[in-house]
Amino acid sequence: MSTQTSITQVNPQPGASYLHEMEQLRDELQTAMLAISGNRLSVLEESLWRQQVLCTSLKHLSHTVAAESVHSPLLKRIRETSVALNDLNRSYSLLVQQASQSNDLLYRLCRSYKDAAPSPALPSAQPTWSCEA
Amino acid sequence: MLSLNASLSLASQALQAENGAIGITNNNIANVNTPGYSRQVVNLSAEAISQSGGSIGNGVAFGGYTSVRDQLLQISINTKTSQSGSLDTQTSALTQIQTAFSGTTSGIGAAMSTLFSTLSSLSSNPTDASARQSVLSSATQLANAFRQGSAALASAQTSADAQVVSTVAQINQLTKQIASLNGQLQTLTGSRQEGGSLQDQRDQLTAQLAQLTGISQTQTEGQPTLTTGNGSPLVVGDKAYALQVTTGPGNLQHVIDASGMDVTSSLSGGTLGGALTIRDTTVPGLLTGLNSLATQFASAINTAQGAGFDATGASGQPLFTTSATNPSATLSVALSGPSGIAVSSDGSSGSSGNLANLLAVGTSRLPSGQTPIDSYASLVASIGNSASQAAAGLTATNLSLSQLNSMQSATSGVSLDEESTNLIRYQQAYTAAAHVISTVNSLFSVVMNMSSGG
Repeated sequence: MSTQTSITQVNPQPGASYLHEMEQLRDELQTAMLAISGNRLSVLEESLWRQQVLCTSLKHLSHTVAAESVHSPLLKRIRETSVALNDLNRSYSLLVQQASQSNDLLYRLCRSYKDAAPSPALPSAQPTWSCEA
Repeated sequence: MLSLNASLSLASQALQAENGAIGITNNNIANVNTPGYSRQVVNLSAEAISQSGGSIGNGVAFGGYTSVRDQLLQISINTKTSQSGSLDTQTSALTQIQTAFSGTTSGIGAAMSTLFSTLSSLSSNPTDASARQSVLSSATQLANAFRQGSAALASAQTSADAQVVSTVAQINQLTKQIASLNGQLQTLTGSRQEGGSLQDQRDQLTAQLAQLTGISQTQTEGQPTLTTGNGSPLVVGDKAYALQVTTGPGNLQHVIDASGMDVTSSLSGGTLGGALTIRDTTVPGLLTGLNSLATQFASAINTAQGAGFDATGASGQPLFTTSATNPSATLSVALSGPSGIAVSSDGSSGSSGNLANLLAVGTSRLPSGQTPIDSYASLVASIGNSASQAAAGLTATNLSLSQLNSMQSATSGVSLDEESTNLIRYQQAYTAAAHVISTVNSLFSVVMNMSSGG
């Protein structure tokens, strides 16, 4: 797994491209989890940027792939990868939730020490990344 | 491809590691105002994720944390702390002694002046009983002043002696705690944890120990070792070596190390070193000066008395009496009444010829080379100099200590700005991650609804 993973479409067939990008996204989720646990913020931020790009591409491709009949062996691999990605996504979700809650508490604690007064909650989501269309 | 089990294993490890990392950030922030707290950084180690047939990729494992500390600075701080503890104790004791000797209207100097003033008033009327009584009273006041001065020094010595006993008790308590922490740290070593908070506690206790006595920090066969400045062991690994006190010469408490050796004279630094300096060097030195003055002054006055005749025409008897062992503490007036003042030089009642001899004592040099007043002034100046030197040394040492503490804070302290900036960036990243998670969830439904074409 590399943090320098390039995001490329290597297969002209939508199904094959879809599979390849799902695998790339799975790798990126692993990278992000390791970055969170290792307190490597810049690695996490870079991975998130790549995850967004992949998400946007996968959403676009999914319409095409869903409209076509995918060859059985390929569909099987897509489904297996999707299950693995989904499982990993569940863990990633838990990790992000917990980390986010801890982070919020720590931020409040940090501000209370810094300002000697309770501070408002963390600034809400800022327009950084979004993979929503 | 990563199997489900391997994925879950990776996720589980990552969760544990993230917990550890968050805990450390929490510690750093919570201890921002804790004296002696060393910032902790996370140790993460790559770990292979095993899957049937071998290991794939790297996971991450929480490998504990490392406290950011500079041992050299810590040792410098402990050394300065010892100096500060010693000077603080000396300054405090010398200030009390100085108060007892610096009075201008009371004390030995004032009493000496009064004695010579009352003797001088006898010159016009040597037979005046009230004038003779004034001389006797002023002589009694002078003897009292010497005894009070001696008592003040003895009191300072007794206080210092008591401080030796109480400080040794505190040292033994601290070394016991430090040894216990060493034991806990040894246990943690085997579990891949560095035990930063335990090290912080140990550093704090070691600093407290340095405040009490000069210490040397070394490693003996890989075990942290603390010894007194002269090498007597205090702590070796998880073993504490208690110091003991026992009554020695002069009824003073002597410090005995774990091997039974009397190490009193070789201890320096810290409250203990300061107390020993006051008790065994400063006070005895001052007492010698005071005793010398008392002996020489009494001797000079008694010699002048012996050269004259009292009111009854008898040879003059000693005005003062004192013991050889502790002259200033035992100085007292020997004459039983005012008639014993030997004013006459020829035995006649109207003579005041010997008064010149008595008054000359005030202006003549004693064997020490100074007049009595100058000799006493030197003694007072010596106390003042010692007190001001100790106070100046204390100020300088404390400033240096502050500088060292600042330097240590720069390497070990917690930066709230750095922590909070990182926390904001993390929160933004988590928000972005939540969008990805949501998208992956929706993609899963799409895939499950795909149909096969053959």
